[in-house]
Amino acid sequence: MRKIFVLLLVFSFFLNGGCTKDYLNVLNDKSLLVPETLGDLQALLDHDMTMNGSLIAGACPLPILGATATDDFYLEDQVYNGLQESHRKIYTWSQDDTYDRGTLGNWSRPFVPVFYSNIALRGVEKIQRTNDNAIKWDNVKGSALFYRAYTYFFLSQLFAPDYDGLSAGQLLGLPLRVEPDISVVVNRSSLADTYQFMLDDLHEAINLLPATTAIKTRPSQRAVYALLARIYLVMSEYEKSYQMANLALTIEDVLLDYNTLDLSRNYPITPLNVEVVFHANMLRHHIMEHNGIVDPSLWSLYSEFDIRKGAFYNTYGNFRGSYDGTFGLFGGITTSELVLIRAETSARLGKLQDSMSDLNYLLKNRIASGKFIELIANTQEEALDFVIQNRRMEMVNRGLGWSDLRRLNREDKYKRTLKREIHGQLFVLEPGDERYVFLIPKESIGQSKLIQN
Amino acid sequence: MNYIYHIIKNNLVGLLTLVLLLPSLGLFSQQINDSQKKIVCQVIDSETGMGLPGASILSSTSNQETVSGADGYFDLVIDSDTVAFTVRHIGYVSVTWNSKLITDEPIVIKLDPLPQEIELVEISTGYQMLPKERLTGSFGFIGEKEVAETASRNILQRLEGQVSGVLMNNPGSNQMNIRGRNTILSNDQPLIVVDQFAYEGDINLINPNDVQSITVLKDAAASSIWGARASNGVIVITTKKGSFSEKNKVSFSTSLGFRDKPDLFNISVISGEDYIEFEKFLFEQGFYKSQENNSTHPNLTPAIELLIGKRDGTMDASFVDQRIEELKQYDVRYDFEKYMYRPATTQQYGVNLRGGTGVASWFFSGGYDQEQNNTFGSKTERISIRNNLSLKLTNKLIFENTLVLSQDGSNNLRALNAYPNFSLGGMKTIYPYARLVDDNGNPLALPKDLRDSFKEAAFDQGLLDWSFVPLHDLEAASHYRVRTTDYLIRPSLTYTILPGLRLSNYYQFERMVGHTEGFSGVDTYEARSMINRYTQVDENGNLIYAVPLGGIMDNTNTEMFSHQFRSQIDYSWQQLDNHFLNIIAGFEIRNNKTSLNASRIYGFQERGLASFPVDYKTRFKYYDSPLSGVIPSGNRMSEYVKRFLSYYTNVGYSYQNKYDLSASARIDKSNMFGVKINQRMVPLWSLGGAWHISKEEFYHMDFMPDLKLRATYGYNGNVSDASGVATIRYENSMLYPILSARLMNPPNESLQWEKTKSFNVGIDFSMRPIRLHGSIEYFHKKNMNLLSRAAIDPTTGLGDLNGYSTYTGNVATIVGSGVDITLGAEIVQSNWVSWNSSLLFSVANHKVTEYFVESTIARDYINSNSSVSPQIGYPVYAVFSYPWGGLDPENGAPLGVLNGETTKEYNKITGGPVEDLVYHGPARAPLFGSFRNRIKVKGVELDVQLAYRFGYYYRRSSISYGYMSQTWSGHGDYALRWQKPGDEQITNVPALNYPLNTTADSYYGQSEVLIERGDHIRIRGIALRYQWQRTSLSLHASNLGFIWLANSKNADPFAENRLRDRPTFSFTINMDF
Repeated sequence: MRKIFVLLLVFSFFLNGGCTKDYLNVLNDKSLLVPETLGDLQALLDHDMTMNGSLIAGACPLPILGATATDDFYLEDQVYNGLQESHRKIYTWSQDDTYDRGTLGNWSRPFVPVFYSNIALRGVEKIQRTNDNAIKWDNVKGSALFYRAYTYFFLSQLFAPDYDGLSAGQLLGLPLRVEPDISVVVNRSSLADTYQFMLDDLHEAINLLPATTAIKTRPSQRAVYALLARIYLVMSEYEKSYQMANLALTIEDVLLDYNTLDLSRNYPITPLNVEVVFHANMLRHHIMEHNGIVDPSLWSLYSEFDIRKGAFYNTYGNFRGSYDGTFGLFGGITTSELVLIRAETSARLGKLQDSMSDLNYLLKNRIASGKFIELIANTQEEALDFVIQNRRMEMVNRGLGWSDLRRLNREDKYKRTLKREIHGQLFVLEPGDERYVFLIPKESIGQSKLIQN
Repeated sequence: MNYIYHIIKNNLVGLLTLVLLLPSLGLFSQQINDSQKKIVCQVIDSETGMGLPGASILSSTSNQETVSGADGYFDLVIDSDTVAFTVRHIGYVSVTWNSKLITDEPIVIKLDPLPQEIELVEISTGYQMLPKERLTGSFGFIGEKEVAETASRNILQRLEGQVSGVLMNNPGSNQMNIRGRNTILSNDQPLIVVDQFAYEGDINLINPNDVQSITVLKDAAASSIWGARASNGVIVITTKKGSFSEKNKVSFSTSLGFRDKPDLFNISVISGEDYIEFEKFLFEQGFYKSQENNSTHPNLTPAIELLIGKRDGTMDASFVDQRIEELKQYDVRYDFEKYMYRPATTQQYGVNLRGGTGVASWFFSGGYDQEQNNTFGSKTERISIRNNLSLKLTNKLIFENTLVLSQDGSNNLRALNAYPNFSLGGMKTIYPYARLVDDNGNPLALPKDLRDSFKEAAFDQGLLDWSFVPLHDLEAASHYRVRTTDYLIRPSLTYTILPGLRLSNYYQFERMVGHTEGFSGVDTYEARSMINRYTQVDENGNLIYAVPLGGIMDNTNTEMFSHQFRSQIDYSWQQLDNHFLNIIAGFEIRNNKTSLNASRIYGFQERGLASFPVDYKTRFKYYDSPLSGVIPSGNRMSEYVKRFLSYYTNVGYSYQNKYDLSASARIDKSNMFGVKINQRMVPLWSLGGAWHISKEEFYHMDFMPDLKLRATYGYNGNVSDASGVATIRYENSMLYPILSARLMNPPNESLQWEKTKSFNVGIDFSMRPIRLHGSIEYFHKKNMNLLSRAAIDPTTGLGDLNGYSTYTGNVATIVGSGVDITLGAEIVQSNWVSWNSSLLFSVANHKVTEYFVESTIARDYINSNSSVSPQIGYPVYAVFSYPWGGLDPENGAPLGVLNGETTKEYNKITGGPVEDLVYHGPARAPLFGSFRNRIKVKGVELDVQLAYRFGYYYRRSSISYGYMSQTWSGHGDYALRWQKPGDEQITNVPALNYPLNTTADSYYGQSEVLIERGDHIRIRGIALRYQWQRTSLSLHASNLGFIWLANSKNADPFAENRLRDRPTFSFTINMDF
């Protein structure tokens, strides 16, 4: 017995010795971290490939469907034939809820920055805000709120109906995700709630962010004001829109003088230039990549000395004016957009002089030096005509074309019927057509039982 | 470093304590009085001379009872000079000893084996040796002879066709499933154990000549002692050892092998003529227009360049036509066979020495083998040295040590792919009418990456020659070398505390170091192309090399450290033939760290090992496109740590040798599971029983002298890398030089490990006078909590770059069942001729029974032959296809079938419900086995092995016009395409229509007309052996093809659209001295 006892002692020595919890608490992969610090959360939001996108980054979060479906560019029949079927359908406005490898990302990719933002928002709540970390803490929270609102804005212009203050409470908006838990099923909110959600996020973000930022993939107060101006414009709340644009421009209003562009380069506009307030990119544009040609109705608007003719289009009429500096399409915020918003809202609010001075400020930076002649409007209506026309000429392929079409279709004067002709067959999209709202992919309809448009 | 300290502390202190206590323990056991005398005895097998542990000794003078320990030794205390006792051992004739003690030499008792019906073998589970007779579970066993009979370099390949229930993924593969697939996403390979410990190194490093036996643990009773890693079965490899009191024996073996060049004409490829006609057709439609004007200057084939020349008037029209007619005649496969391939040869040499004295035993072995592969510049090498030494420090204490040093290396040319995937940049591969040499045998350039005209212009501007000449690259300084070196040391101490009670401590240290060196000299295309791309031209036209002139050298260093320690108590107790009890219990600790460190050097010059620094931060404009990019740095680091802490026990009890019971239990804790899972751990366990019916008194079936019934039930686990906590990984932002983090894993705290519940019942029997023996087993398994990727609503934010969103969860259950039959027959047995036959037959069916988040879209279930698509009611690997409605009589477009009507709206079917698909069957054979016959006349033996698989399907490849337009390579079915109305009666191959319709292409490619049956019977190998005294010669041929194929095309189901393995011949000499 004694022997057994001694033996058990020896044996149990091994069992008891030091195999503590720490031994098993090491993460399996050393390059993986659990996001815990403000630095980790800021780094998540700085993942530009996910949050902003760029052709250089290889991936983009913002949907491209709208840019594909406007009539600013057309395809030759031969090129149209070379498109894959899903792209042909988008090009001809035939509604379909079957999205594929090339198109499903229009719905699903924007939710990735929403997810990252929600992880950051959840994470930042767990960290005590102190005097020492206040700036970083605020920046994480403010940035997350902005990114979330920014992507929701893009989705709202495609997958939710056009804003109408009277019926917004009854119309269907977007599924609003406020937490990162993937097991939660979120149904569609009302259109009014969707807009209110974006506005709430942005108003909360204003005081958390710095006025400007040198890193243009990060949000700033300017970007928040600009997005507010954009949303109020869509909501036809011109007074508020004007105020926000004005606040943003008060901080800084430098424009890029197109006279300084090197037009011999394939893509004359350099990315992250002085005019960029916030950098973001849309998904790859298959129609642009297949040599979409500028529509004559747009082309004819440019005057002889308008540098944009050469800066935006090559000799074949293919677009090359992206603020991404590549064939990837820019979907961020520029000072020129802010100037145009202030010009439009000024005109609509009857501030004729203000409107024209903004517009002329923009054009001075767009027309060849020495050839610029100030535009003069005699009536409010004339001023608005100028601004709306110049908005189309300036904001080519910046992600707002579709939104502008929907918005302006509310007004008899500015509404437009879109037409395409392929192999002699005519395709038409009338103002207010239900096809102005894209169908939600069946993947979401099936998994979360969302109500289809 | 904390954990190393812990381990060292545990081990050192433990071992020290043990060493300190040993002398005192020894004293306790030697309490004998003066009149008594202790003698040492050894029980050995009269035939092999091997020591027999576990023999029971009953002294007839003192009524002492004892059991022989390791190698058959036992001590006996006697009062007088008379020694009298009875020795019993299962499987041996009992001996009663009665003699006067004359010398102090140990008494050696030789036991004669009982005449065997069922071969008596001891089977290793990695934790203990168990006599086969007492097993309750399902084991497969391959002895030394069978292991040596195959010539393959990889030890696992030698399992093929030897054990029922084991199905290799492909012939010649070392990937396998034991009794069907048990998982969806996680590792589906069995756990490999070498001697006592799980093997963590590269399996190629094990020299098959060093292997004594292989045991396959198939059911819960067999494998649940391995716990959370045993769901897929366990393979225990036991290496050779010397034994005490064994004469020195030297054996030498050498083997030479030969395999012919691959036959490239096995692959169906569009002819050069057809391909040029296809290109002409596309050219006329303007298909290449966008490529011609593209700012990235994509390469074009010679025929297209000629057509452009003709169109633009830069080339003479009649010259172009004549040239195109010439091109049509070529077939690049002739050039490839001639210049890129050669016959493969293998050489293997091995020598080993084993032997022992009364207190020591040893085994030394050395092996070297080399293979020169079919592609030029490619060879592999292996050196292995193994040494096992056992020392009896005292009668009760045995020290054993194993030392292994092995190195595996391969050398390939860098960046030249084999046919048919020979890359010409991007998706483009070698086009059918390409030529590697001109009529005079001078190497020719191929269009790779960029257009020739652009390359020429670049050259004129002073850039490096951008042309790609495959045969020059074959000669250029470039290599891709992999060296893996493994060091293993495994000391152990076994102390016999009392007869029958033993404490063993094992420790194993393994370090595997890998070094991969990829080098492209400055004269290789790869290096030149890289340098050119980053060449900057300043305003004055001067060239600035952002990537310096010189070679590019990539180094990757990997290192694996593993420490494993085990402390185990073995207790066995026997009372005559009535009771036999065997208990083991112990714990095990395992720590494994794998790290990787990679770097790249530019401007490398082998002479003097010079290199240049480069600027990794600036974005340089590419010379060949409007895009820009940074110079790829190639710096990478990673580190993985796996830690396990396990407790286990196994109990075996046998009554009157008629009834056996077994039970085992194990708890695993690991850093892989996360705290929550470790906390709610329950042991994995098993229970088993066996009944030797033929030993009952009522049993009178004389034709079946042996009959045993056995059954087991229990649980195993399967560990996966899936993590339940949200994790991020740092990387660089793309647009600004700041750090950013990517989310790697969404939070999911509910993740669990996978678990398998299994039930096994079987009978073992042998018959006479028809000499037939074998076993029949039935199993049923339920694999639960299986991890799988499941589709999830994209609004969760899990969408990938293609927009699809999935997550990993414990979402599935698979239920499997089947039968394993092993039969052996001695058909003829006479002095000079014998004929033995063996048949293995296995059925392994499984289907998914639960899958919480099923995709509802048909196309998600259409996949290549090798990916999983779980769906309730179907196997994990299932073959689905689109219904086929024939070809449109008007234009030859494929027709789908929807609601009984033909349609061309393919998306309605591909994106429609799963019910619209056609289900064919499993993609992995549910019925398989082998049939082997050995006929021996005098010393000459002929061994013919057939292998068969039934009941499975695969997808044949065919033409896809869209794919061909992108990749330049197409299927030979092009020639069979629909060309005019009426052709739909004789062909299913769609017409070439423009615009190219990729949806139609893939509908056809995944339709039911291309599904074939994989069923076949093939000749796995034929061997001819000759034994002359101590020398044996053998001639072995494998991959000899099929004797029956079920599919309509007589096509090799293993070589669908890839090169078929050629027959391999080898000649082996074995000599024992």
